Amino acid sequence: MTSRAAPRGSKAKPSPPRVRLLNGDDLLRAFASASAWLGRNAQAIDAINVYPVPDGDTGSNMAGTLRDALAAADASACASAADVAGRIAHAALVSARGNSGVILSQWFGGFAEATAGAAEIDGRLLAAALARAAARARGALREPAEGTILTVAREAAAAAQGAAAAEPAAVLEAAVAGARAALERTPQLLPVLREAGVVDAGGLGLVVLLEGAVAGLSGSPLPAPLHTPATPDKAWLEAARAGGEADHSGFGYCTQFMLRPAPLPLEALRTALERLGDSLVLASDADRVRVHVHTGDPGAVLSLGIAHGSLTQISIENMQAQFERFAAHATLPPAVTPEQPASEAGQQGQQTAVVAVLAGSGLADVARSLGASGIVAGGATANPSVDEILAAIRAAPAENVIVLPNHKNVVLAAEQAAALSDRRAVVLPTRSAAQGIAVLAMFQADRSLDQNAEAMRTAQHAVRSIEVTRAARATRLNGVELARGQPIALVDGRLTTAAESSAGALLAAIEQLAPEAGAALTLYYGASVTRQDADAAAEQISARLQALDVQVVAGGQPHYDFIAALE
Amino acid sequence: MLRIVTDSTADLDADEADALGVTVVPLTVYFGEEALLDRVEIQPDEFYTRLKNGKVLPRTSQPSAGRFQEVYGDLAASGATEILSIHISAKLSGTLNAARLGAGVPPSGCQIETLDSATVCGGLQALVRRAAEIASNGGTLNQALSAAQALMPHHRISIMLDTLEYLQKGGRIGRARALLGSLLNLKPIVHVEDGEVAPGDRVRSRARGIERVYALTAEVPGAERIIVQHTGAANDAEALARRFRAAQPGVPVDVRWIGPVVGTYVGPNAVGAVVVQRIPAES
Repeated sequence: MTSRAAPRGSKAKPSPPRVRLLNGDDLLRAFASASAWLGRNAQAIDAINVYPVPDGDTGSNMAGTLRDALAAADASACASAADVAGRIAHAALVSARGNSGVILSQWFGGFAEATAGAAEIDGRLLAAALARAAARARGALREPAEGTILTVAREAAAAAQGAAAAEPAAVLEAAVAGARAALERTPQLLPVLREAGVVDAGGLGLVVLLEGAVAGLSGSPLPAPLHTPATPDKAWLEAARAGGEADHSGFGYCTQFMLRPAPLPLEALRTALERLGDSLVLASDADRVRVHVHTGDPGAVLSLGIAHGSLTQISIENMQAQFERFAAHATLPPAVTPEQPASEAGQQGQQTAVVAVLAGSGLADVARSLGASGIVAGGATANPSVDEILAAIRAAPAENVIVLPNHKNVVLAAEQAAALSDRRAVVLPTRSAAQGIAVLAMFQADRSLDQNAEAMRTAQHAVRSIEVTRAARATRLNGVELARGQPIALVDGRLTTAAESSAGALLAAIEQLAPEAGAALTLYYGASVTRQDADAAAEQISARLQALDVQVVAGGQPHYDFIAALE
Repeated sequence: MLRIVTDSTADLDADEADALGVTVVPLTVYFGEEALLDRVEIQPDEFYTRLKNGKVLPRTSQPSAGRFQEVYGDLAASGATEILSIHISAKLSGTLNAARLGAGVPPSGCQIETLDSATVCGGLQALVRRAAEIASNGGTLNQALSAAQALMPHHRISIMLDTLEYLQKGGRIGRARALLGSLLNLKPIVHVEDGEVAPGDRVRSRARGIERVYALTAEVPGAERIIVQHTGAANDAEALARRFRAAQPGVPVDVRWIGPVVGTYVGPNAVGAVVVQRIPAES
């Protein structure tokens, strides 16, 4: 197992004197510490997302949004607090990813609004800034809900108001206390949280952010991290070193394979693997088990696997190398693959272009074959930043652009990108890849944006989406008990089925939809599924539903074994 | 006396043409070396059976200028003093050109005008019916010509293709090229715009495709006539016709085969509809 950091408090330096006014430096230190702390806890926050699906993760999105905003803001030369806040808010606007990231960017926007023009911030102004931040965050959503980050933000601001006469560090501490109390109450406000037995992930993200800010300001000790990931955030490491601590977590190899047969009992394998690494996930069927583990000794893990049966779909990735690629943001390969360079005039008579967010090379190929000019890859969390979507809009070969987010957690970022672009960009809020492609089939480049949007909207509501994946953690949802790694099916974004196998979950979900004669099913199989398995699943479906036209396509998508569109 | 001439792409039955007093000049269908006159020596049902089962893709060719000259000559000999010859879009066939050439030296005492309908199938049929109506009421060539021209923009053709295979193999697809290249099995809907085949919506399922044809046809206001057309999907065509009759009582709804010229591109099992709008009568 990897070593863990010693609690900060045990070797804490004496706290610096509590200042009455925060200047640019102080504010930057607070937010940098907040960012590092958010990064450190991102995975733990991801783990309590209500929907146990492996993408669209709140923690990673919030952490990524803030980290990239700080990097792009380049605020180290700013003397005034207003400048720092303003730059971070401005940068966050485009670094935002996922709904939680967009809400966070609006929170920073409100903070910057309230502190505009102030060279320094006292307790009173800080409290006002937290209030404005909460209000702006609320304004980001058409249908704000209680029991989310919005509740936590509002109550943090209210608690801060109560301490407004004190120095900023105390105001922030009061905010943290208020935030924590609000967080504890979120399950009472949102039934899905209560059922799953968790607090709201976005709310937790804000609590963590504020905790980090307090620590950065005052040097007071951070609580124990929620969870030690195998790959500690580099920025946190640096922040921890700067504070006099060093963490020696090792990096390792992300090792995965499919093992046949599934050994019985599974626990023996689990115990043996837990000795070799962490972040262990075992997902089993009747006759096989998929193993995923982070280990310093992949050879030992493979040997263990071989001792139990035969291995296929083996992959070993050096996480340090992977991490460094991600950490060095500037060297990321472009997430956008525009069909034509921005300088080209575009096809003759092309009035409208489409930008689609899709994860999976096969899905991207299908989208391009239907006329999409730009595909934005979802990235590790399948949620691209506003920046990435904006770049695709700017590269489109027409002045009018339709954006297809294809995931409920990308809609806000797409809208933010559309609002920031100079072109006429409209978001059609598609919530799944299946919807996105069905909608693309109605796209005609030589029609106006409005004509296209109308035809595409009709198609959007005529298609049913089925997504099959494996539960990212054990939970209870919509009355269904789920084991970690269990195959589940979501229909139009709602969890409906848990089964023993992906193919089984798929078939059950389709049967529940009772397709009529003349209907068509398009089945996209994911990167971890073989063509043979996909064809076998399709045959099972055809045997059961003979009047259904089934087409199997290599989607190449991560996380989801199957994505299906029923029309 | 005014007589109306058209070609076999107007999808008129022989008895209909007779009843209207319209002369239909057939195009020729070639299966390899075998040449057959459209709707004279080969009927649509046989054509589509051979299209599906044959190894060789059939070709079609326009009537010759000489044939047109003969037809015009015969009509003049039986008393015609004016002839209006309305034909399939010049962008889809060389038929109009042949007609013009055939009318180049008109029989004495006979004035001949040709009209590029910029359409085909039920669309062409609608123009021909209008002109025939005026002719049978004793109208003049110019009146018939104006009426037919006025009707040209007032119809819509929507055809759902069951397969893109034939579109791909044939030539002259023009803008419909945009329909090719999709990695998904899609049923495209095509229209006839500016005299050529234009791509419309694409859908995954046949059921939705027929639904789309229905919607595109039903949304046209002031329908005077609807012609449901098909290339072998008689059941689907009849069902579609019943829907139109139920939704728009009083509007005549016919079911007709799509002829070989268009059929070679759209392929078998296609279903479509042509809606013709009522336009105010000229004073």
